[in-house]
Amino acid sequence: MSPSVRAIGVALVLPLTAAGGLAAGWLYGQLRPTGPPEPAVGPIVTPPRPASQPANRDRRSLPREAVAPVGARPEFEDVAAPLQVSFQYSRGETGEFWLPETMGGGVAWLDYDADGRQDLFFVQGCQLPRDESPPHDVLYRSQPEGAWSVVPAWAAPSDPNYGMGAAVADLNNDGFDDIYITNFGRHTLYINRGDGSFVEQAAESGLNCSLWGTSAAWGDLDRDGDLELFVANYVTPDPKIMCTDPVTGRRKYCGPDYYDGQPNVLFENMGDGRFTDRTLESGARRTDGKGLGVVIADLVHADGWPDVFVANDLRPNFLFANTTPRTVGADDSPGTRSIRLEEVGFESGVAVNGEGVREANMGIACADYDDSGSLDLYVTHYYMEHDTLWQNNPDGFVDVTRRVGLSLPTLNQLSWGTNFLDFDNDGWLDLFVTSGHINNIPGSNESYAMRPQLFCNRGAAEKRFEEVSLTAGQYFQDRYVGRGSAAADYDNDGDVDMAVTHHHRPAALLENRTQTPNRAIGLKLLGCCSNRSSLGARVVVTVRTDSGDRRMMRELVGGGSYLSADSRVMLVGVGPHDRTAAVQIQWSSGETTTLADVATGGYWVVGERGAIRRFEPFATTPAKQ
Amino acid sequence: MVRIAWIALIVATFGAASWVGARLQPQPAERSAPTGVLNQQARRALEAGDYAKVVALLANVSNNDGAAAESHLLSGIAHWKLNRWERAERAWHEALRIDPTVPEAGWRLLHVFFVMQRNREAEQLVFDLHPIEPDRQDRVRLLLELVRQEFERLGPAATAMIVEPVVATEPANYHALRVLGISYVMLDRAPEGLDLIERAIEQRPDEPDGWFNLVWALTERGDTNRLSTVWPRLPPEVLDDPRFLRPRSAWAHAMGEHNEAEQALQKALAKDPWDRKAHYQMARLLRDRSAAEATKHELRVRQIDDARERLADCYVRASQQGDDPSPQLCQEFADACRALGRMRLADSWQREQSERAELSPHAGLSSGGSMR
Repeated sequence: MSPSVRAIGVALVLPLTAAGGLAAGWLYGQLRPTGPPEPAVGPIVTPPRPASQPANRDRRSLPREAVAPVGARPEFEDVAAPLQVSFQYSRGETGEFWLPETMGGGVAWLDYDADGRQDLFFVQGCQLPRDESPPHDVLYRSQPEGAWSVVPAWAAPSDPNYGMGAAVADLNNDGFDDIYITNFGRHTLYINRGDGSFVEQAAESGLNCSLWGTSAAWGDLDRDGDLELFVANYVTPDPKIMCTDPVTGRRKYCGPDYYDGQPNVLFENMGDGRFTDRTLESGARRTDGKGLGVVIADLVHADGWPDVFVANDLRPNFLFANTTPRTVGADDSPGTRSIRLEEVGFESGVAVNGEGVREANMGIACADYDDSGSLDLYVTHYYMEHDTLWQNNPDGFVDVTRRVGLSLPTLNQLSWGTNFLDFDNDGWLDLFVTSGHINNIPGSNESYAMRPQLFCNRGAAEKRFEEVSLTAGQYFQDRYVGRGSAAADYDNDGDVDMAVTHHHRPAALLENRTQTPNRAIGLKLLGCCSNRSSLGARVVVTVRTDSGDRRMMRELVGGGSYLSADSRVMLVGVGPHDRTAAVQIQWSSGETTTLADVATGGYWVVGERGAIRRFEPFATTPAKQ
Repeated sequence: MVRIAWIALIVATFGAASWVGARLQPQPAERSAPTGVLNQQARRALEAGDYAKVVALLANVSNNDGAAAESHLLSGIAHWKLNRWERAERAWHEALRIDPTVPEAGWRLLHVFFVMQRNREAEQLVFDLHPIEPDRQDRVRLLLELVRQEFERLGPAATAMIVEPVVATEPANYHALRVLGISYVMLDRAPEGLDLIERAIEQRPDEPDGWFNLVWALTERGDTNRLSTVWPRLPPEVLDDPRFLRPRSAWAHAMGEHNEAEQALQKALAKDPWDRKAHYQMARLLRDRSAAEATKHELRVRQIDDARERLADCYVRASQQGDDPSPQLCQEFADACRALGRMRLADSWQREQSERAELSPHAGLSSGGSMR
């Protein structure tokens, strides 16, 4: 491609409206230390009260007393078609029953052009064993108004392989989100050039992996300021093995128990654009797993060191506790600290469910659902295996699925993508789950398409989840063969929206239209000593209530859901409060930023060591038609 | 093939059941015919789908007749087709009592036990039939059927489809009530399901299965309030059943009664040292007190899981060998069963191994060959 054509393309991809976004990249350049570390910011920063603190659109007209803070009726609307987001995963379906055809593709939120709006990336499949003209992955660029545009294939990540999942982070700390794509075959890495285009650099970066990758996660495992990559790999399918349904005698897809598992892979970021495979020496190599989901988060001891949880299909899950030496020798620089992981799944209680039964573990949601200050785990499972919610207690994880009312409603589902999200901004994290069967056998009692589910967290008083799907909008009335799911406030209106991928149907873009008097505070974290994406940062938002202070902890975790990536922009529902008493940010570097008396109703852009950079009120009018 | 045929039977049991009425009355002219003749007539009626006639024909057959076992078999099939499973079960038991080698009756009972989740009775029946089954292939199929029932369970939707007509025909059928109840609970129809389970318990308040279903359903539902009202209602003799000891322990643990929780698990493990779930619960209970003890229990869980996986693998390979497993594979079955503490089943597989090795002395040297 000639430079001039390329320049025209860039101009098309990145019009002037992106200038503000590029400025954010520039801002990060200013924040990132190039010499000695900046002095720490003062202990308390009081941000200015913005002139207006609008609630979500349509909410101001609601008398506050008329709507209970807990129990707002959820309302989501699929706006994919009006926004011309028309992606549909192509699974191939050759009739040869290739197992990858059942797995689906991921979806990822990223702000690829740094314009402050979340864009949407879909991983695409193709025909197996080979496809002469394969469809490619698709990146949609969100627009403030009207239809979204497809980023041209030459500029976007457009991997033609049989795609599975996507993991997004700014892995080279240049201010722009990059994308790692797992495939059934060679995985790819798309580096964001910052000019609206990407370049594939897996081999050049040393990210060589050709196993059957599923989910992947970024996280700063050695806390040196750059991000490692953990890839969950699945099984080695053998086309010679054929399975039939015992009742109908029809051919069907074989389960993973027919195939050998593949080892996960851990790549260490060397800080110079290259990665080194550290699977073996770190202790992450296990050949007895069949990974589908992965999350990197501080799950063990809340010690500030991110751990790795892998959901294995029909195998015990892995919880790799981060045992990397906390101190380095005089000769060592942080960059040479050796990553050490120790598998403690059984000891911690997350390898199997509370009855000791190993299950078909699929997707993962990871957050502090009960305000305990520790990250909990929710894992989706196969049909006739209820999903499992593990509560993180000081003495390990406890399966509380039954206790919180999530056993029976999820038993009859075969579920994949899942996300903790606070749909009504009451500060209690609710749950989204997407489901759909593997085999479509006519006459079978097991439904192929299944209902997506939304569970409302009833908070500290009830300590239960209640399914509210049937009142959550038209999307939840229908059945889908769902797979990937990812959460983001794509329209910047202060409530969380969803993107969901399906087999046989276009993906859904679910705009949250829940009417509630509750408010939220948004945080866009810009690491400097920490990784730029701020993965691993922990935020505690404190609000004053009649019964005392309430503290809500959120962590920017790497990975999660199934094959998908949530937005890295944090949104914390705070109930009806106009201001929070405090916002404390514990960065992955160990630095702490504390903000006092912070207004809600917008996004705060907060830089590590740089305190608040600016306030962006939530959008008050629909960002789409 | 036999196993596939039996699974097909599961789906072939619907319908055919609402108009029995007066046709069940015995017909005097046919009552006086010899049993063999009646059986022939009954077979023809069975093929024609006239199940009421079958029942009527065979209503007064004398058990002293040599052909009576077949009569009961046929009568049982007719009752079964009419969704009168309790009567069918009685008829097949009677057939086996008269002639333990009567074809089909045992298999049909195994099917009922399978649908009704009566694993212990299925196992006992196989142990009764296995030593006397004359056909070598059918003998091993009995053992394979036990393994199949463990790994290919009916889903709740299928169970409900099969059992709903049975409950409609036999509203007091204890097993049908509780199994339908548990299926409804699993299908997220808990209020209806719990109601059916309570009805089953009313039928047989001293039997543990219904109580176990109730405890399971309330536990899955997270309904600790109602669960706490169930414990005092339980007959004392069922409290020592390991199936109750585990949920009892979990409940006690949730209530902060750690000693009671531990004692219940100790009791469960004393009764069944291979109870994987009890081992795991104990490991979780002990984890914060004694890591070494907890690790021992976790190790047992892993060993039992591995053995279960080996057993499942053996089953798949036996299917690949046309349900005619090699002596080597029989040995692997026996080893896996032994590792799971299922000694009687292990002994049965060991006998199969010996017999098969005698018939083909060199076969035992070849590897069974894993599908992987």
